[in-house]
Amino acid sequence: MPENKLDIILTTDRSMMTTHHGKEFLGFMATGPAVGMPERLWMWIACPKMRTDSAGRPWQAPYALRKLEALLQDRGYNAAVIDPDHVNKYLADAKILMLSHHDYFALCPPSSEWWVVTKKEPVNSKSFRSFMDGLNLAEAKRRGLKIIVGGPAAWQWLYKPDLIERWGIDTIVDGEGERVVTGLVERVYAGEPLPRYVFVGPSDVPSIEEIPLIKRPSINGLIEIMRGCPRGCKFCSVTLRPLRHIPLDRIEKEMLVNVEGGVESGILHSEDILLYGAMGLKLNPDALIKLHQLARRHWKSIAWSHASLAAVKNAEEEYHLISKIMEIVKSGGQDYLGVEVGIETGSVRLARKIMPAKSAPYPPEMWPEIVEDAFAIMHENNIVPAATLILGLPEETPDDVMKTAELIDRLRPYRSLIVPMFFVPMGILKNKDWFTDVKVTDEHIEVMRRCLWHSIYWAEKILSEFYLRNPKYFPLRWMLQLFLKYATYKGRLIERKLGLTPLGRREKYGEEVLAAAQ
Amino acid sequence: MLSQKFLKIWFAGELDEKAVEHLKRKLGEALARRERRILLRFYLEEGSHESYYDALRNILLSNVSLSVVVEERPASELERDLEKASGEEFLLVLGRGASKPSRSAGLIVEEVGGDARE
Repeated sequence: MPENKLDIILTTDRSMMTTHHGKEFLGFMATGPAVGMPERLWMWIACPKMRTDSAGRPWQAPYALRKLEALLQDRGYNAAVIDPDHVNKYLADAKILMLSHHDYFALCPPSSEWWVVTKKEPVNSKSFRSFMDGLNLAEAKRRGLKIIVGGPAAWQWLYKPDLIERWGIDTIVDGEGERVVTGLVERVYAGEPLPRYVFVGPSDVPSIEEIPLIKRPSINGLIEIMRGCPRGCKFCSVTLRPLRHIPLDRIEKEMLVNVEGGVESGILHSEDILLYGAMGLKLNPDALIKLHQLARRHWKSIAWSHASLAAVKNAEEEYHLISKIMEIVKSGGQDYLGVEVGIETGSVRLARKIMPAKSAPYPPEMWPEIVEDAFAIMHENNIVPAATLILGLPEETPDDVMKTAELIDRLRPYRSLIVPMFFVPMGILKNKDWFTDVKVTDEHIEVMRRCLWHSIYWAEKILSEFYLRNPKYFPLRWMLQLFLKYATYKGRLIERKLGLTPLGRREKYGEEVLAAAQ
Repeated sequence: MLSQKFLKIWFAGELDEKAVEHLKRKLGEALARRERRILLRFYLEEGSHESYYDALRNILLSNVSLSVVVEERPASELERDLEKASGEEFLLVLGRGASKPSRSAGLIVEEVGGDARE
């Protein structure tokens, strides 16, 4: 890369360009507003600055940006991922600025929920806006700079025409970009007009061979092992894309890129890790064992991005696979594994309607039981789930929501965090009404406060016994413990204000439920 | 992907509710005919920004299966583009307030609301 000259800058704001202190889950804090502490401190906890080289290239960068960087470099373009603090110095010469984000305007869950609950704008959206406003765009645009935005939150731009105008966004790319981006770049180089919007449908997603291998480290060593998902849940956009399993040799190459770049731990990324190598929804124990052996060989610690609860139950009950995988994980001295899971609802009626295959190979009628069994299996095997559920799904009834509340009560004995999320129209439900604060019902509040007390109860234990046990994390742990105390205080206050019988005596509540469960 | 074959629809005029429904129907028909890609080109009047995006969102978010490309052009360019595009296959949809093009031979034209100006 010639000093300070780039044709194509790939970047995003600080809420995305950060290691979250090597603790991916702290990234969740970037989806909320600063609560109980100054915003600068909140940002430091959630999104510390990234180490860069003298050219402003980040040590680690979001995986999607790394993929695009590799794609463009392979085609011979002078392109690189640049840390947001260093973008301005490249703007004077750049032809294209490419942006990616998980949640540009905090419209995705859980950001949208924190916004509704706290009435304060989450830091991710504030950080992105302040990043964009801090760029010398006017001059660069006059000179002909083109701005292309993409990533999983690309659709959000359609709700922000004022910002498209203000920042001079040229093209929005919604979907997997591998087959589109070079075409757009070629148009810019040829001086041809760009389309305003591109949606990549299922027939235009790249094959495995068309997906480039990253050339520099991804954030927290995240590596994609699959794309797409066969479960077909109606609220999810990933499920609309064909399923592709990335072969082990390609996975290993990316692991090595990270390890050689100094990122020695990693996250296996898929919508459902346990479906790696599966034939449809039939698990492939051999592929999973090999995948984890490979990860164990190269990484100091292993994490999963997502797993489905039905697969957890099925894997353990049919193949003892969770125990076997955890044996491999623990053989490297690691004693727990973190993962995000989706409960979505406790209502069988809704499960049948919106996610009939999420429970497979079990019938949707078993959904609450599947969730509880999977939580028990994870608890016994030191897998710590951060679970999400969805409030405000289309056609949801108060009874459905109370079923979810009951399920959360049953999950109390199991080490986990549970985060309620408001429905945001994605997947084939994406043209449905948006869920807004005016539709928050008493039943929703019951679910939300149960999630709060469940998560506060377990968060302290998870922080001190697993997540931030290492002495180097003491300051961070101490601050998060303070935050938990503040959240407890605020939670009790809100319950009192709403005239609700307190669930919030958390030790008492926790012990009571534990005693009942035992 | 951009160099692949697209079903092309050009739209001029007011992108009102009727027009949105018409275009959504076109997307549905394209899907039923097993088309994979559709290109929507909008000829925009000055200052139609906000309502245009509301309408566009409505059309785009009804689709999950087709690849879609959206192009925007000033309304004043329509005649010139029609001249240049002779021989190209596309459907021209005229919304409320759109002028009928002077060249219509060989063009497939649909009117929404039926009050396109002569």
